[in-house]
Amino acid sequence: MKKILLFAALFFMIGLQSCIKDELRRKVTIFRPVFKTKMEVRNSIISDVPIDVKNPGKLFYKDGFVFLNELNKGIHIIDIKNPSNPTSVAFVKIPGNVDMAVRGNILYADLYTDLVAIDISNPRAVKLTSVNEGVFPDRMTYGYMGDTGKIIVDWISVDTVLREDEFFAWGMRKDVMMSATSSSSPSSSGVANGTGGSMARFALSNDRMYTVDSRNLKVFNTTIPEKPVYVKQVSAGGWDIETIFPFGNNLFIGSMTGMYIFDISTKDNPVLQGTFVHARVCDPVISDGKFAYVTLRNGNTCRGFENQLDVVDIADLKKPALVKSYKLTNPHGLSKDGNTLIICDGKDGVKFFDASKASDVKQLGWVKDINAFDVIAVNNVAIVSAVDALYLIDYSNPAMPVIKGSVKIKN
Amino acid sequence: MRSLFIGIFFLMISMMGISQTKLKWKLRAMPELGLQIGSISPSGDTRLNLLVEKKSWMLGIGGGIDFYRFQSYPIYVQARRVFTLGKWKPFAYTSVGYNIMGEKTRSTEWISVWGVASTYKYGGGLYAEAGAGLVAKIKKKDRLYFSAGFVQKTVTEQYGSYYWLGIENQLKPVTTTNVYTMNRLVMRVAFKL
Repeated sequence: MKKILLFAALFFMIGLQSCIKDELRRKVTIFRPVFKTKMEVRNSIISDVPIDVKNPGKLFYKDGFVFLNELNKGIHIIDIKNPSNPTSVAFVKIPGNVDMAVRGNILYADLYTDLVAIDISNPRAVKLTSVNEGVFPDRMTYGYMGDTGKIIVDWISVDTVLREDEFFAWGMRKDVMMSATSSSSPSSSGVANGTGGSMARFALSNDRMYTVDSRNLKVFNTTIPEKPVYVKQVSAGGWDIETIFPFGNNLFIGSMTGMYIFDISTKDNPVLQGTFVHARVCDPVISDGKFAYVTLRNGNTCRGFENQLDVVDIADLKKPALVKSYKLTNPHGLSKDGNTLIICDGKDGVKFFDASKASDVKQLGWVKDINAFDVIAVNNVAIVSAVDALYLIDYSNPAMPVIKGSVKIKN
Repeated sequence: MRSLFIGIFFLMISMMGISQTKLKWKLRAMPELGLQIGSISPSGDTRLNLLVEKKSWMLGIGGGIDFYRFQSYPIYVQARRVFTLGKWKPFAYTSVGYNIMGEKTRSTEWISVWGVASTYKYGGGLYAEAGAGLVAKIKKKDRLYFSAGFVQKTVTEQYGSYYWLGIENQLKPVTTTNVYTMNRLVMRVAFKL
C-alpha cells in the first residue's frame, strides 16, 4: 500500500510539473491599414464637407483662412475673417499629411513621401495641380517597407488577444505635440507667401520652398507655384532637426541640440553660416532679423531640463551670441509681431511680451487656462493651437489679450 | 463580487446552523501553510478554512493570503473527503472561489526618453485548487493534513499604452489588458482544530 501511495504521489507531482506555468494573455488593440490606389487618393483631394477637428497638427495662415492639419488625414480650411465666428468651410483629404505651406493660391502639402500642390484660389473648391513623387523618402523609414502602389488612407482598430510569445513587450507614452508660429516671408515674384508656424518643417522664401526632415534641408523651385520642382538636398547642419523659419536671406533651423543659420542669398544653394548650440531640448525658433528667439523645453522626446526663452544676437550670423535667457514654464511655439512677442507656454497658457529690448523682455499680458502649443500672429489676432481648441485671441492691447473666438477640438 | 460575498456570508450562517443541528455536523477551523512552486521563484500562502464535518466529509469556506507574484487574497468554498485505506487516511480536496487583488493601482515612473509615468490598474479573477494528501495523527485528537495539489489564480492588469503607427510616425493611445493565469504546484500542511 505504501508503495502504491508513493507511486501515486510521484505520478501526481510529475503530471503537475508540466502544468505549473504562468500564462499571460494580452488583450491589445492593433491597427490595420485601409488602402486606396494612388489615383483614388488624388481624385479625392477636393474640398470635402468640413469635419470635426480631432487630432490637430500644424497651422498655416493665408488671406483670412487658417489651414489646420488633421494629423495624417488632411487639412481643415477655416475662415477666420470674422475672428468672433471662425467657420470651417472645407476639409481636404490628404493621407499622411503633416506639413504644409501656402504660396499665392497654391497649397503645398506632404502626402507621405509625395509633395502635392493644390490650387486653393477657391477654398470651397480646391483642386490638385501637381504631384512630386518620392521627394520625402524618410517618411518610409519607420518600419513600413515595400511599395504596394497603394496609399494608407485610414487605420481600423481591432481588439485581439495575444499569447505571451506573440507580442513584443514594450510600452511607451507620449504627449502628442503640435505646432506652428509666425514665419511670414517675403516674395519677390509678386506672389504672396502665407504665414506658417515656428514649428513648421516647410518654409517659403521668395520663389523657393525649403523643407527639413530629421537631418536634411531640401530646396524646391516654386517659380511656377502650381508646379513645384525639386532642386536639391543639403545637410541641415545636424540631426534631430525639428523646425525651419525663414527671414530675409536666412533660414533658421531648430534642432534638439542647437540652432543652425543658413544663408540663402543663392536660392538653390543654402550655405550654413552659424550655429548656436544648447542643451538637448526641443527648440522652435523665430527671428526678426536682428535677434533669434528660441524656446527651450524639456519633457518627452525633448529630454533636457530647461524651460526658457533664449534671445540670441544674430548680428554676426557666423557667431550667434546669447543675449539673455528668460525662465518659462514649458514653452512651445512662438510668434513675433512688431515688438510683441507671443509664446505658447504649454499648460501655463499664452503669454504676451514686450520685446522692444532684447535684453529686457517684459511680460505684458497672459491668457491662462489653455494648454497652448503654437501660435501665428496676424493683424493683432493670435491664432493659437491648443489642446482643446483653436483659439483666436485679440492682442490689440497686448496687456489685455481677449479670446474672440474658437474652434473646438473633439477628441 | 458583492453577490459572492453575500453568498459566502449566508453559506457561513447556514453552516453554523447545520453544525448545531441533530445532524451532528461539527464546526472545524483549519489553518494551513502552503509552499508554492511555479514559473518564478517559490513562494507561499497561508489560509484559514472554516469547515463543517460529518463522517468523512468536510465542507466550508476559507480565505487567505497568496504571495505568489502578486499579493492577493483568495476567498473560496471548499470540500474535502477523507478515505480510509487500512491504516492510511488519504484525503482529497478542492477549492473554488475568487482571487481578490490587494494592490488596486500602481504608478510607475519610467525614466526613459519618454520620461512619463504610467498607472496600472489591477483586478482579480478565478481562484481554484485541487489536491490530495495524507492525514497524520499526532495526538489523540490532533491531526495534521499533508497534501500536494494544483492551484490556479488569475489577475488582470490594465494600463494605457501607445500603438506605434510607423509610417505615420504617430502613436495611437490604446488600453492594454494583461490577464495572468498563475498555475502552481502547492504543498500544504494543515492543522485541524
